Amino acid sequence: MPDYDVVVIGAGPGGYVCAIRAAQLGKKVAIVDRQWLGGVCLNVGCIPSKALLRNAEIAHLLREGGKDFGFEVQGLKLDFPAAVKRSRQVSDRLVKGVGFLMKKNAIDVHMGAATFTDAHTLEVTGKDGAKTSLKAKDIVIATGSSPMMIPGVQADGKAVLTYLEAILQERLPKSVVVIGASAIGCEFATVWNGYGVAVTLVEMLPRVAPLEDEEASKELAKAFTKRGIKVMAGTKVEGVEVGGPGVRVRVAGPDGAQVIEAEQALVAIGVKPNSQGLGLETLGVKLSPRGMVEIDERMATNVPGVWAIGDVTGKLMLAHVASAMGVVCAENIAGAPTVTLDYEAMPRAIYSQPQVASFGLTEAQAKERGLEVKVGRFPFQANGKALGFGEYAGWVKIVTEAKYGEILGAHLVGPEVTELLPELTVARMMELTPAEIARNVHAHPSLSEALMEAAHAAEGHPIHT
Amino acid sequence: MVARLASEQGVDLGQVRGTGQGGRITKKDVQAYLEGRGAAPAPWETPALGELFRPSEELRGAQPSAAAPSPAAAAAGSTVPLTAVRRSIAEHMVRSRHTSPHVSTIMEADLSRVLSHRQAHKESFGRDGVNLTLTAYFVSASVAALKAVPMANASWSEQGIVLHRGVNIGVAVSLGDEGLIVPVIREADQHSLLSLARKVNDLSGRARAHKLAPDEVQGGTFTITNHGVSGSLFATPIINQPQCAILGVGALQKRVVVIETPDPAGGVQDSVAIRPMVYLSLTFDHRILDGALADRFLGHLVKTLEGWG
Repeated sequence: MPDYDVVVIGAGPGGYVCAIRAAQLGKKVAIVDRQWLGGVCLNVGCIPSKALLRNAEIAHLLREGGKDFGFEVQGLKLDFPAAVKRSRQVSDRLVKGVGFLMKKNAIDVHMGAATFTDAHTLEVTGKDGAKTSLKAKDIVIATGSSPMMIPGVQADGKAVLTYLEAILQERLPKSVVVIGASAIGCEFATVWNGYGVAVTLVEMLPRVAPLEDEEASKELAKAFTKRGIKVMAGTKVEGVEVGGPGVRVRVAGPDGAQVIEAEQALVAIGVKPNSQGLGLETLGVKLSPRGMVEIDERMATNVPGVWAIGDVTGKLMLAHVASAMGVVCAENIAGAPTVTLDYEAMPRAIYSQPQVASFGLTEAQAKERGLEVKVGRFPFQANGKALGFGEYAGWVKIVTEAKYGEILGAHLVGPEVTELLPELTVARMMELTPAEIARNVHAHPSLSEALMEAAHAAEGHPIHT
Repeated sequence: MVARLASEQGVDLGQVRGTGQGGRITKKDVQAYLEGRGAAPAPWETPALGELFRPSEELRGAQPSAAAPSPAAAAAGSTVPLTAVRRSIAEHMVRSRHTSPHVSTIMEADLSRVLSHRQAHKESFGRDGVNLTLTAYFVSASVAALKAVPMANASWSEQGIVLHRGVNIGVAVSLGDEGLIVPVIREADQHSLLSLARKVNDLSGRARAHKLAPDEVQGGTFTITNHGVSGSLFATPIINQPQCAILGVGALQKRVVVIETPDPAGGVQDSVAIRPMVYLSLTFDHRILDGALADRFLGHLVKTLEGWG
C-alpha cells in the first residue's frame, strides 16, 4: 500500500497550492522541499521584493517628492538594513502561514532532497543525511527554477549577484549594473534607484521589458530615464570582471563597446528549470531540449502517475501560473471537475515604478496573426485619481479584435496597475467585450476608471479624451 | 462576444452546446457550430448528452419517455417547452434519417461459447482489475467483421466512399434520464480482449461520471448500442452520422433452439436445446452497403461470436 495518495516535490506557490487542493479533494498528501516552505516566491522572490519596493517608493518620495508635495527633509537618513529586516519579517510571516496551512490540511511536510526510485517511490535525503522512502500513487514535480548565469560569470554574492543574494543583502551599493531588464531586473533597478544608487540597466534585446507591448517598453524606459536610471537596451554583455573595488562590465551596444564600472552587478537574465538530480532520466520522464518537463493540458507527464507544474515545466515562469497549474493538477489527479488553462491569457506583472501589467497578445502579435485589431487607450494623465495621487505616467491599452470585440490582450503602465488587471482577465475568460466593461459603472474617482475609458475608446466613443 | 457573433451569423444559441464554465456557450462553441452547419456530418462528431441515440424503446415508440411526450399525452392546449438537448436530439435524428437511407437486417447468435469463455477468464481478468463485460466481446467481434467487410467502416461522400483507415468503435452508454453518450475506443483493432475490456470499463465509468475528454467522444467509425440492457429484443437504431452502420445488441435470453447434428447414416439429427441467444441488428446506410454485403458483415460477426475461443 502506498504511504500517500499524492506527494508533491517542491513547496513553492505551485507545490503547496497543489498539495492543499489535493487534500481538499480527500487525498492523503505529503510535500517535500529541500529548503523552505513557500519556495523562492515567499522566501527570496515575489514577496520580500514587494516589501523592499514599498520602502523604495517611500524613500524615493522623501528624496524627490518635496518639491511637488511641499515638504523639506533635513538630514534625511535612510536605513536600508531596516528595510531588508522588514522584508524578512513579511516573508517569515507568510512562510509560517504556509506551515499552518499544511497542518490545517493534514499535509505531512518532509524537508529534504527528493529523487525518484521509481514512478511511485521517492527517496528523501534530509539535511542530516537520513534517508526516508515515500510511496505515492501520484507524484507532482514542482521543483521550480534557478537563476540562469552568463557563461563564464560566477555569482560570488559580493560583487556579482543573482536575485538570491540581492534580496538578502543589507549592503546598499553606491552603483550597480543590472543585467537583464525583465521583471526581476526592472524591480531591483527600481529598489536601488529609490535609495539613490546609481543604476545602469542593460538589456540584450532591443528594449526593456522585452516581452511586453512595444509601447509599454517605451513608456517604462522613459519613466526609468526620468528617474535617473541609465537604460542601455540592445546592449550585449561580453564579460564581467571582478577585481579592485567592484566589477567591470564589458558591453557592446548601439554606442559601440564600453566598460561600465560599478560596485556590484546583478545578473537577471532569466531562470532555468530545476529538472536535474531528481532521477527523471532513469524514469523516462520526457524533457524538452532546454530541460523543461513536458506535460499535457492535465499537467501529466508521459509517465503515468508523474505530474509536473510551475517553472519546471517552463510554461510561463510565474508564481500565479504555477498556483493555477497546481489546482488543475490536483483536480485531474482526483478526477474532479477542472478547467484547461489558457497560458496566453495569464496575467503578467512588473512591480517597478511605474508598474507594468499585461495579459494576452501585444498589438504587434495580434497583427502578426492577421487579426483585424482595434485598440482602445486611455492615459492616466486624464484620470482624476492618478493626478491627485501624483503618479500619472502611463496608460491603459486594450487590444481587441475589431469585428466581434474579443479582448485579445491588455497592456497597462502606471500607478498600481497590477491591481487593475483582474477586471480585464475575467472579462477575457468570460468572453466579454469592451462594451460590457464600458457599461460597468466604475467608482469615481478611481484608477479603474481608466479601464472603463479605454473600453469606451475601443468601442469608438471615448468620453474623456 | 458570443452574442455579437451569434447575431451577426444568425445563430440560434439554443442550438449550440456550451462547453465553457458551467456550460456557458463560448466563442469556440459557436465557431464549431458554424463550421458544422455547412456540412451535415460535423455536429455528429461532437456528440453531447443524448444527442446521438435515443434509447431504443423510444425509437420504437413502445415506451415514450417523459422527456418526449407525444402531443396526445400533454394536456390539450399546453406546450411542453423544448430544452436545448431535446432540440438537438430532434434535429440530429431528423438529419440522419434524411441523410442516409436506413435499412436494418437482423440475425441471432448463440453465445454459449462466449459465455463459457467469459466464465473461464472472468477471474483472471478480475485479478488485472478488469471487469470482463459482454460488450468487450461485441467490440472484438465487430472489429473482426469490419476487417472482413471494410465497406462497413466507411463514410459516404459525393466524391466517393471514404474507407476509414482506423477502426474506432463507439459504444453507447446510457446516462439514465440525462440521455446517452458515445465514448469511442480508438484503433480498437490494436487491442486485445483484455485491453478492450479495460477500455470499455474505463470509458463507460468515466462517461457516467461525466469525465470524458471531448476527443474521447469523437472520431468514431462504427457504433454499438446495447439496447438489450433495457429488455429490448431487437431494435432499429438511427445511424450515427457520418458512419455507415450501427450494431444493435438485444437482450440475452435463454431460448429453445433446434440443434442439427449429422447422424451416422449421413442424414441430420434434430435435437432441442436451451441456449443463450441474442438478436443482433445491423442498421446500415443503403447508399454504401447493399443487403448482401451487410448480411456478410453481420454473418461474420455471428460466426465470430458462436465460434469463440
